[in-house]
Amino acid sequence: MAQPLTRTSRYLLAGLLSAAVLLPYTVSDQFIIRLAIQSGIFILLASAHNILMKVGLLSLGPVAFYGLGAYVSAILTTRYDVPFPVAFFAAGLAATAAGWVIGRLTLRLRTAYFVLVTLGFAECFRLVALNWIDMTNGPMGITAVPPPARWFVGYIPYFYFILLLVVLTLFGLYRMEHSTIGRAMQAIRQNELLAGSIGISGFRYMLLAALLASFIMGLAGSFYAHFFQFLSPEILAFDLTIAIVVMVVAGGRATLMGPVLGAIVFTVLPEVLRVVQVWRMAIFGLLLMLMMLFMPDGIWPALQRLGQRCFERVTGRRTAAVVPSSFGSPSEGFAANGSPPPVPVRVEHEVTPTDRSQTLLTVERLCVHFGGVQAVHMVDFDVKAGEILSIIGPNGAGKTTILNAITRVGPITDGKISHQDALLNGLRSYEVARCGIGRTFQNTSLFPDVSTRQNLVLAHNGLEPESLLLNLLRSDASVQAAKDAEVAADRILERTRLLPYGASLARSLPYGHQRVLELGIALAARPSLLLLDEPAAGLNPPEVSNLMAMIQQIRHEGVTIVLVEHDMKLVMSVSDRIVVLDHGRKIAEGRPEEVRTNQRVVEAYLGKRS
Amino acid sequence: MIQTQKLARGLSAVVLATLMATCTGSPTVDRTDASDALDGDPILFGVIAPLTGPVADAGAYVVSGLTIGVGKINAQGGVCGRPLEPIILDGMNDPQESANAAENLITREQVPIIMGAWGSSSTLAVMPVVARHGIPLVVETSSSDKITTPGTPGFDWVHRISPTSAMEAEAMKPYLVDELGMQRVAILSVNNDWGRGAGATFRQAIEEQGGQIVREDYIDQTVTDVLPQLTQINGSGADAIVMTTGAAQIATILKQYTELGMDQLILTTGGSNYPVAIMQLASPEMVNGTYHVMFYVPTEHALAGDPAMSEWYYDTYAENGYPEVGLGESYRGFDAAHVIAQAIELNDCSLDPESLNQALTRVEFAGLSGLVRFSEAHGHQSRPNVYLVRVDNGELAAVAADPPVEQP
Amino acid sequence: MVELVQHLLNGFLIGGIYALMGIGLTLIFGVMNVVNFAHGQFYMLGAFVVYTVFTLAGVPYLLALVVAAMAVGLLGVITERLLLRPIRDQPPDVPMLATIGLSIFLANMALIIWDPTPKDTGLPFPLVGVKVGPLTLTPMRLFVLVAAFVIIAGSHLFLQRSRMGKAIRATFQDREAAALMGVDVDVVNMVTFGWGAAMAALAGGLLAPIFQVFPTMGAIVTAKSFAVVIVGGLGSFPGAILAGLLLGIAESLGAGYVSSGYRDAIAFILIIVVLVVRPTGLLGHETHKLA
Repeated sequence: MAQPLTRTSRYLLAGLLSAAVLLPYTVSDQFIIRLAIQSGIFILLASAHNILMKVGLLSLGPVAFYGLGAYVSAILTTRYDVPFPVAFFAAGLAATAAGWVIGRLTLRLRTAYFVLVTLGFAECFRLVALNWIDMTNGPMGITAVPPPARWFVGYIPYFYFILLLVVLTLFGLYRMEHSTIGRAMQAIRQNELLAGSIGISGFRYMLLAALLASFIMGLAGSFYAHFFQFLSPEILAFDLTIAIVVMVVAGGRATLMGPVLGAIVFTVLPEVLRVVQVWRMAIFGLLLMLMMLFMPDGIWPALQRLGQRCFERVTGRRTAAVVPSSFGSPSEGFAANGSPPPVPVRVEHEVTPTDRSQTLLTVERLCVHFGGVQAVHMVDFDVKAGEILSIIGPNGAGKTTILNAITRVGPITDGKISHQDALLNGLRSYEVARCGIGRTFQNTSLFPDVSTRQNLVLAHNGLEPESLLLNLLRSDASVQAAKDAEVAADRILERTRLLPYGASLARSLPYGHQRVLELGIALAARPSLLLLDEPAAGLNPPEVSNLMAMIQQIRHEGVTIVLVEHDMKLVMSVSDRIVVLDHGRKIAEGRPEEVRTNQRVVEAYLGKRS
Repeated sequence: MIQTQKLARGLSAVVLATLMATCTGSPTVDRTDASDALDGDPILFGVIAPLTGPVADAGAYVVSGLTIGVGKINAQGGVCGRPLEPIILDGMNDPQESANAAENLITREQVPIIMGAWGSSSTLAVMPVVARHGIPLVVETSSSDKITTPGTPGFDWVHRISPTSAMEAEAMKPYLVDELGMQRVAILSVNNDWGRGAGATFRQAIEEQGGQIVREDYIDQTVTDVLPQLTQINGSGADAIVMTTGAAQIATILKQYTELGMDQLILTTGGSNYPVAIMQLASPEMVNGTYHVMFYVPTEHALAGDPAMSEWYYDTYAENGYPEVGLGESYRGFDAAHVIAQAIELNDCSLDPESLNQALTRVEFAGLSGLVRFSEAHGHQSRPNVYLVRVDNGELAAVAADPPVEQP
Repeated sequence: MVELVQHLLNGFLIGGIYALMGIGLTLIFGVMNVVNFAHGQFYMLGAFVVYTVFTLAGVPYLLALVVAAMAVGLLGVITERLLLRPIRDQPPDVPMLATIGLSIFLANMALIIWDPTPKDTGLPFPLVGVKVGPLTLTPMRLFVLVAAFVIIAGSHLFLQRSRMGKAIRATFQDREAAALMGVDVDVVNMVTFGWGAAMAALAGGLLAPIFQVFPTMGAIVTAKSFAVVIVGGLGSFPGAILAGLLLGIAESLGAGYVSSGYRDAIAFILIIVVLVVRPTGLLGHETHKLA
């Protein structure tokens, strides 16, 4: 996605910007200038709200931070005579602090629960503004909020002030989107679990998103208070939240330009609809429903598709499935048809000599209980460096539960898991990934709505610098990281024979290729220990033998592998050692030929079958 | 699937086309028909009222009175021989919406004067806008003291017909404790600037007279269940309840007051408390024996500034089929339309906003709510009549008036 | 002390209605995974239908309630078919925003159809207090409470005994498994949404005589229904009843003893506290936890 702006986009941007700068001189209508200023406020709010959408969170509490910023700024300037610049930044910081506290409390929740808890906070803020008369003056509101400076007369200074804020915000967001942080957010939105398994902390980026969003909203609130010069609790009304969310979703969530477009359309639309008087809000509601029905991903992506279709019709070429991009037309390459299935990769590296006596991972007396169910009970085993250890057992034996416990996706009731002397028990899944432990999942787990190549670029994320400042300033390290990610992605595409599919959407790949891509994603994070959860499930025999070759190849490159698998042919031919589980307990351990003849193993399997 | 897509595309096209049409179309706004008998371009003035949202009913009442007022003026020859024509925009009683409506009226419609914006918060948000453009604002409903306090942005451009809560309390002060015997009073009012403002001034008036406030409750405008508050009031030993809120909420409270079998004296204030409306929304028996502070008593024509007009208005309102519950509030629009018309005539038919603002200070209009005359000394504020009304067997009877009215 | 008992009684009376609203919403939420922001508008429409049929047309009150349930239930069915089904596979915020659009649309259509003036429906039962010892109770309130629990019990029977009810419960547990077992999920969704809407309409119709009927009466009710669903735990009937009564009593006590201004905050504070401390609700099941 790190495509540079095309020339057309650059000209378009320059044109838009100069049109905006010249607006007060070309339009004498004060009403339009006022609408432009309000659009500006809403562009800030919608863009800020959209940062949360980028990590896949829908909040119904944006007004809490907007209102807090407005009240902090208005109270400081009217009551304590604080100069505007100080109050302005205090508003941003106060909102950020609130964002931090609320974020810490609520970011564990998802979907409907997150929606309702944020709504709850916003309403509580409104009721405080309404009832804490001594501080906020309650429903009487704060009058005579001073202008930012003496020379803020008429609308023009406000217009340039908000234009500056909008340009800075959008530039920052553009930079962020095309950086490690933007890629990490994309990964989290697409698949939070998978993102964790390659070293991306969902919570960290969600909190970052919440902080950035609330900071921008706080500043917007301060601007509002000093522009309107009157502030009352209506700024915290639920209707305003609806307006902001509609702008983001109808404009195009998680895109850069969508919220901008949405903010302008939905500031102007209600004013245009004034002509229909009492029908205004009814029509607004109807339009909202129609938009959700026919443009559920928003106006901006719909426009992009339209643009692409025109392009196709003019050039007569068919482009690949659309990969939504944030600015400019999709510039991904073309998908080739009928590419061959992946074939075994050739040896590209020297075989790394590994010391098989060294223990990489130790599992001691591991217990995982769900309520009264002992999914895993008192299981011990260790994994030696450089080996392929398989874990087998009938369905429900607790194999996946163990992998989940090791990668800290699932709970540990008791016992210890350590990796090279470091205890994993207290870690989170992304921290485990950063210890060099990669994994795949039983059910296909990809970043479904981005290209195959982008899947691999995102998978590199855990190895890149995370600092906000470094990324916004485009430091050498972050630029280098982006280049590394591209190079690594291409290399893995080649190795996995997925190169012809590089531009296709991951979800549109054939099933077998999807499973290979999963392996590629795990490899892109450069693990030293790789946990594979039923990689052969659903594959046909040629694909299985292909997989077998890949697994051996990966081991030859020095990666230790733990394999959970039902396909006995695969297990018996690649494994160095095998651990057998039944009903959550370890019943056997040893070399393939030992296990094959073990009486308890035979009973477990035969008993199950008969 | 393909059909759905076609349908989707078709529908989107229709929606887009409609939008384009509305965007490019001229912003014609609902204008009440000017009398055809009059020649010349209409004189436009702006109106900001809540047409949608939680107080849309009150907005509709003000607009109905305004429509009658404008119709009457135009039927009698208009203003300076030209028809008067309001441009009414929806402010939703929301500060931002109302401020936008004001901007639209001033810069788009080029109105020389505006009436609005119903609630005090909305009016306070509109004031900086009218000040920026130098357009006079006639306030017909808002009660916040701040609107007519020097120093508030836009103060110089505001003239207010509606009384402040303080004026109401001041007028009632001699009666509350001494005449009505309100010794231990509970306040149960709506939680906005209006209810809070009235609560504070009535507390002061009652305490100055030696009464005592035993409980103060401010409830949201949408609250319908007040049993908890009434239960507490009942247990607090209060002998009277003062309520400042709209007729609908008063009716709800009275229903639950009856449910609990309470017997405290009821006094409602605030100007949106038309007892006939309360009786319709509750029942006449429940309203029996309650007291109401009013600025306009529709049935008592003798109390109005111009009894003949009051009678005419009462009949016309009914003839036009407006809801009876709105009669008690509709007078605001009627009086405001006349004030604006008179100001324009006093300004020698000039529509220059600056001199129009000056002309407003010279207006004297005997309206439905008494003599409208803006006192410069009291912050561009008119002082309407204030009546204390008691409901007996479904009839309103004025038991006191300020200023005292001579009975004909 | 007398006041305290009276507060508990008041809270109990209003809590029955909260429970009724919450159960409709929890069904929709659980079966369709849609956060229905139009739930309060169904409540509002129920009240308006009762006003139109009972007050204006003079039909007996109980019959008017049935008409309200059927009319609004039908509207719910149509909504599911035309609005929610086409976007069922979109991310959850799309159906949610669609219901917000519906909510704005319905509230403003009601404003246009019935005009904004609040309406009084008149009383089918006396609203004059009867003293029971030191407490006061009115026949109308008692009827509302009894009716609410009859409707809840009826819904419970419907879900437990009828074929459709079993299909709804199966879909609630596991949509895909239900579909594999031959349950027509489309029909289940339509019936669920219609049923939930009808329950909200009944709540509105029951309260209409006590309060007033006006277009914006639904907004705050939606929020309180959410609180009931969250606090009671997703999909739990006993949870919703308990949470409804709890919310009613907490609000009565809060408004009586703490502050009227913060009364509406109680529902939201309950949502926050429950979600931060125990996301499954009071009686919710671990398996339904979405977080």
